[in-house]
Amino acid sequence: MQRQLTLDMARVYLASRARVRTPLGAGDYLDCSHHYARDIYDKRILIALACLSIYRQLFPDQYARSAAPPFSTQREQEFYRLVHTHCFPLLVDDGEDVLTWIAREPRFFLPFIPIRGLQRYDWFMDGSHVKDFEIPYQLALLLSGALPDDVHTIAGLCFPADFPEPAPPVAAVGWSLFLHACKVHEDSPLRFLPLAFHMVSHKTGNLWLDLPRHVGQAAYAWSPEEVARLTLMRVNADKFDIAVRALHNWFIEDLRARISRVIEIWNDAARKESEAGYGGMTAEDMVAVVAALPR
Amino acid sequence: MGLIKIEGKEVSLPDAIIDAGTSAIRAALSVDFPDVENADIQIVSPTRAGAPKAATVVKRGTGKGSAQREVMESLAAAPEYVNPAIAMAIECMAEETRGDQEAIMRVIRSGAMERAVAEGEREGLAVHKSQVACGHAPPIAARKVPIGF
Repeated sequence: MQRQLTLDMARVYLASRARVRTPLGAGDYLDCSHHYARDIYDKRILIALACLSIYRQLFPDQYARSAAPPFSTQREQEFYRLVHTHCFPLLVDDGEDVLTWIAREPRFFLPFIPIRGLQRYDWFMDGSHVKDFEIPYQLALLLSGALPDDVHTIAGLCFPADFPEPAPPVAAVGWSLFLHACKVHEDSPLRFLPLAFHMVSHKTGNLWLDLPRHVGQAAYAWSPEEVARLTLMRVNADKFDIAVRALHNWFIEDLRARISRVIEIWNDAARKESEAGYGGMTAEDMVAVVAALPR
Repeated sequence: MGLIKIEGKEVSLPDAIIDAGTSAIRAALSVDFPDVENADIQIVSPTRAGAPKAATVVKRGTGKGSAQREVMESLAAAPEYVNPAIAMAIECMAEETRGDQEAIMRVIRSGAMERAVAEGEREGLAVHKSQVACGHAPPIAARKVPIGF
């Protein structure tokens, strides 16, 4: 019985015929056909076609000027370089980017988009270097109860000698009050302080920041939508970093007074929460309380 | 004054406009009811002497039936077309079968293969979008009220 030629089959056929006419493509084909089933090679070609299609859509000028043979491994690697340079880092291993791998392994290819956490610190593993963190991070760790027990200073200032002892971590209501108190300071970088809390707890909603560095990598399929989404997230991650640095500089201008002010805001939120009888209540508990209110 | 029933409301219009016919009624109503352009207007003769003149305006159905008809007509009118990537693959396979190994090199060097694959992908994506759009059928108002409602 004759098989129907689908679009994917036609694309794979044409691309594979073009690839095997290049030295690296021929090597790929021989390796795959020697070690794996035929469909593995077809899947490899489909990945290459997906990358080249994104290359054509996102970087049309570079694609048109490319001197690499069509459908070749070299052209795929050009695309990786462009994504790595203009969109987001393609980190294959911890500390090794795609450029290193291409230089080391000429037939290197990425079957998926590798995502590795881009936060500069590992909050769990770098605990001993907490004094090197920016002040907003140190404060966020202190107030959320995540500061190592043997650390009793923030930016060189001791507590309770230099600034008040902070209240224990607040629950849902206290956190809402604290957020509100930070956000009312619209003209000061203090409004960025909640961001430091989200960063240390990996809850920013941004994939590049929410993936802890020590947990390895996540993988996403190559598609124009994913590349665009991850690029935007990368831009936002940079903005978060700039915001925290601005806040760090703001603290340095008047260290003692400004840290004390943050502790005051925190303690005030904790006190109000306790007085209202909502101490220790989580967001889920709050939802249940509100649902049970008489209408 | 005559009475026009439109979209469940009654609108008064001078008798002269109703006497002038459907075009005049359409023109008079078009400011407040833009959909009247594509509606059927039926003038009802008064059943008894002295009763006001009346007309009923019923919007034409733009429901699933007509959309389906449009799709079928478009398909029937569409020219014969084979996806360029599939057409080129068939051509290259035939050349290979005939023993012409250089045929593929010729289409690679001329850039025709890249163009065919790119155009084929673009067309494949458009077909996929059309398929998704065809499967998307949100509820719409029907012209007739089903029995029991």
